[in-house]
Amino acid sequence: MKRIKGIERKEQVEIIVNGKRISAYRGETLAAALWAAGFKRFGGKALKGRYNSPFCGMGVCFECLVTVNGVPNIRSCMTLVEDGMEVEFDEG
Amino acid sequence: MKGNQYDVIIVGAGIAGLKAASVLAKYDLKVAIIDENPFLGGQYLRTLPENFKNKLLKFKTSVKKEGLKLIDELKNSTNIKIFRNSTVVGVYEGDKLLFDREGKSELIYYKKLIISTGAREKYLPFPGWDLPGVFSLGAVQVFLKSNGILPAEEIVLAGTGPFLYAVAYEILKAGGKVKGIYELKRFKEQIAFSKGLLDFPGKLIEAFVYLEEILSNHVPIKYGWRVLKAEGDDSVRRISVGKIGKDGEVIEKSIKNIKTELLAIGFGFVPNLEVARSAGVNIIYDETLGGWIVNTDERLMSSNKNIYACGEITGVGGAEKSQIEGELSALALLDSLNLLDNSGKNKIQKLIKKRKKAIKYSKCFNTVFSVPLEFYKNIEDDTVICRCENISMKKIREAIEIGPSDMNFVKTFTRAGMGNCQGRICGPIIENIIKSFEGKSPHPPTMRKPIKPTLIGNLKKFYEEEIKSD
Repeated sequence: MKRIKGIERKEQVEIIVNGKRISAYRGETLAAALWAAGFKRFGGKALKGRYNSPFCGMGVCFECLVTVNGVPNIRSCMTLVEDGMEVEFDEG
Repeated sequence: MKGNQYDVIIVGAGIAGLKAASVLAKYDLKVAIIDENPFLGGQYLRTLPENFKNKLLKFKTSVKKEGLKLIDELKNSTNIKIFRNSTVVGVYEGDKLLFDREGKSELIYYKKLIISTGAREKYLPFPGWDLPGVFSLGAVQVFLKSNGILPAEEIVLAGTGPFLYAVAYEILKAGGKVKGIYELKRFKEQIAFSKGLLDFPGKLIEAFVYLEEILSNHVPIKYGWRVLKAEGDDSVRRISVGKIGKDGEVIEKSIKNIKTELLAIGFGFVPNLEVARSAGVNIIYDETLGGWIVNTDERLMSSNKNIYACGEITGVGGAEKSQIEGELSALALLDSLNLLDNSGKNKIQKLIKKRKKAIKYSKCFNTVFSVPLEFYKNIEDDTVICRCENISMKKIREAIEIGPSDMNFVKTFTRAGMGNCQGRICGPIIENIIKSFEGKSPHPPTMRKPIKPTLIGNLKKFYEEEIKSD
């Protein structure tokens, strides 16, 4: 997973994911930024025996839900990153 | 007119909705367009964020070029109110629509409603399709086109339909490797599709652009092959694929394992009917148009004279059809308000003819790339069908065996479709499973609002206001 070369990105931001600082770029969705930073497991294991993870990428499947700034069940694929955004989910 | 009242509300800002909005913008009407995404354009018109310098994809179809122009026009238009990040919770009696934006709900009223909510992908489940690292084809495209992120260095694509090639092309252009394309349909089964392309030379050009990139990168393409399983401890590490024999069974000797950390799948599209159904309009079943669709007349008016439907929800047919129908629905709506002159009326007749061609293509597309029902019938017992509630094929089969062949029964008996996605992913699959056993496609389950998860406090506020206004 990587950010594609040859695209000039402006406005780097920092988000806090389960207490860790991760850099991203304004305009990216939270799901994509998390995936690019190596996060693949978005909770769910305790309930279903497997991890949730982005699947449809466009707000349909609800498998990329995370807590954003204290608000639970936010679709990370439909949410754009913002500087200082605090994100939490169970990495297992 | 009060602030929250509109002459026309358009739900969905994809090609169809945008085109409808651009037609209405020329008239003295108060119009709102509402969309769940942070950006206008729906799925087809995805581009990189404005603060990125786009050097990724130079090739654009004519529909795409026009669509991007429409977005720019709309952003600068003063008489169209745009609601982004706005998820429709339901259309209610009294011509009103409730939606959520940034955690708060808002109520708006319409005189006329245009629904253009597009389509979503559908799937043929296999063991491991619920592992992290299995993406929809659309998700790969979203990562690439809206985020400039390649979800993995090497990607395997599987499923059916021309969307496989579009996504492969985009991965290659982004510097990724496509480890293989596994198309379920055999090559000769697809010959009929070329007939469908004849009326749309633009699509033919598109196909050549994609194929040139795919072939010159020596991407292996297999026809009549399918994914059998995806495996890995906590995310995908390897997949198995196999060639389908004449009897529909996979040929044992052909099975091979492929190492990959990303598998993207897609088996065609199904209309997003939730908003239309919450508005109570009639739907009909037409397999050749993608299954259940909104029933309209040739001017795209639904069973409710104040509600029009356009784009994928009247038949899965792609961008050209959506563009035609967006314009047609808006003109028909204007005509119903006696706002059209003769040239406008003539335009309606022209568009009705153009739409017929698009429908012809649509029928060809959906027929050629349909997944044989026995694949649904033969899904293994342990395979998860409802991902939200973790319901396996075994449970679904049990429900079909003991009860009526009815989506509501399967839902209440198994809980499939009761999770967060509200049956958007498993619904079309279960429909096909029932059809594979009973030979007839069941009616979708009863539509209940809210049509997407919302906060109970928002609903409480809404119903309190309702009671007050009564």
